[in-house]
Parts: sequence; C-alpha cells; structure tokens
Amino acid sequence: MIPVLGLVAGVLLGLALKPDIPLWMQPYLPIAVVAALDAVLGALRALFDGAFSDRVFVISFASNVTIAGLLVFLGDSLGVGSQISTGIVIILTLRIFSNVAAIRRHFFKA
Amino acid sequence: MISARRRLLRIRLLLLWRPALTRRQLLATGAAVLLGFGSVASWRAAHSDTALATARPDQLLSVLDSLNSRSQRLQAEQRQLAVTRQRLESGSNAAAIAEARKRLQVLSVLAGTVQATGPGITIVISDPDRIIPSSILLDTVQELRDAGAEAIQIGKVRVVANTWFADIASGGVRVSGIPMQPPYTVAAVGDGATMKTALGIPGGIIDSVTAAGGSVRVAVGRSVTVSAVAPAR
Repeated sequence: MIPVLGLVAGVLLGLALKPDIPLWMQPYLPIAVVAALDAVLGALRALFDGAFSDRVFVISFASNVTIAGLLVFLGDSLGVGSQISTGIVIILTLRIFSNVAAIRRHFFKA
Repeated sequence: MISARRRLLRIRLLLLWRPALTRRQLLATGAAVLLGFGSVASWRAAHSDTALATARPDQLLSVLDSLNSRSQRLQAEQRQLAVTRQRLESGSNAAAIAEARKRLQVLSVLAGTVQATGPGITIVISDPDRIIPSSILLDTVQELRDAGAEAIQIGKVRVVANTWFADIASGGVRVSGIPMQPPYTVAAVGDGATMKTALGIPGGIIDSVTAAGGSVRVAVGRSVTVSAVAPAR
C-alpha cells in the first residue's frame, strides 16, 4: 500500500513542482523511466516468486537506470544515440513483457 | 497443492498491501516515488515545445536539410514570379494581354471550345460485327490522354472532361448522347508517335479490337484538325 501511495505521491509531486528537466538530461530521462519500470516489475515478479531481496532490488533499480543512461550517453558520443536508445527500449520492453507474463501466471495460471 | 500455492500468493499480496514501515516497503516506496516523479517529468518534457533543443544531431541535420531544399524551391519560385511581375509592369499592357491570350488559347483547347490543328493521329476503328462495347472507346480516349493528346474528337463529338459513353442495345455506341455506328473515326492532336505506340501496347486498344473481330487503322499526320467543338455552357 505504501509503495502505491508513493507512486501517487511521486506523480503529484511531479505535477505540483513542474520540474524543468535540464537539457542535457532530456534524452536520458525517458530511458531511465523505462529502465526503472522494468526494475519495479522485476521486483514484483520476484516477490510473487518468493525470491525477493531488497538488496537485489536496490542494486538492480540503480544499475538498470545507470547502465541505460550510460549506454545512451555512449551512443550519443559515438553518433548512434538514436539507434542505441531504440535498442535499449526494445530490450527493456521485452523484459517488461516477460515480467508481466510471469506475474500474470501467478494469478491466472495461464 | 494448488490451494497451498494460492494461499501463499494471498499471504504475499497481503504482506505487500499492508502498510508497515519495513525496510522492504520503504525501498519500494522510494522506487515508486522516483518512478512517478520521473514519468511525469519526462511526460512534461516530451510534451513541451523544446523538441528541437533536445533532438539528436542526425535528426537536426535532416530537419535542416529539408528546410534548405524547401527554401531553395521557394527562392526559385520567387525569382520566377519576380520576372513575370517585371514583365507585366514594364511592358505596358501588351505583355499582360499576350500572357492572357496564351492562357486563354491553352484553356480553350483543353475545354474543347475552339478547334485545334496540329500534328496528331487519325484512327479508324472498324467493327463489322458491331460488338465493340463503349468501354473500348473510353479506353481509347484514356490511352490517348495518357499519351499526351491535347484535343480529341470521336465522329463529330469533341471529347472533353464530361464526355460520356454508353452502349446501344442493338449495336453501336452513344457518345454524349449522339448515337454512332462503326467504323468509328477518332482524331487526336498531340504527339502522334507516342499516341500510336500507346495504342499498340500488348493487351492495349489494338489488341482488344482485334480480339473482338475488328481492326484499327492508325495514321500519323503532320496536320490533323479536331474540328468539332464542345457546346459552350
């Protein structure tokens, strides 16, 4: 319950503060959000599998976001930024799908 | 076994849902806050008008490219219009009148309100069995237009934008209401060689007419006159 409230609080905070993302950060933030979403869904899946570990969760959350950002930065420096962003989004989306499928299997056994 | 798994699932859900200040819940809450905040922030960024400021260099290049070619096109058009304007302004009214006459002549030929003479072809479609449908005549007209015909007449009828074709049950064809019997004579002003080729393509007009037992005679002429005019409206 508290995490759900936290999500709502984060959204409200974002709406209330109207944060202006610094320009250098704008290409990385959407990728970071997708990476974070993947980490959260992975944690949820681990929770239902009974394999959740908060240490793993924190590390995977932070490393997902960092590595995604670093990869995009590397791609931008090499001139293949848009391709690498596309690749990252595709991989993360695949993982999100498989995580959601695993969670779904717990509830519907299908 | 299954029910045990269900119970386990329910317990885990309860643990997840029940508010408790465990480290686990706090961590999850922190992640959720970050996720919510980040989502809203990037949503706002994606919907603000700073698209160009954050675009990648290759995207900017393509935008710049298209803008450049657009501006070149517009500049060429501007030069052309400036020349026309200068001619119209300096040459008293003579240039303007000449320009207008030229346009009038072109448009009149297209509209079919004046006769047209020039290089072209004369086609005679004979149909001894009287079975050629109006669609073949229509195809002939389309083929001639595609090949660049400027003016076309069938029999004594000028073919214009609203000309229509219909079959007569007892044989023959009605063109814009005028009944015609074969052989049909078609005169067209335009590039004769191109039009002749267009009629002769495999599966084209000549093939269709021959298949129906008829024949097509095509004569390319240096001076063909399309004498029929469409009634002015």
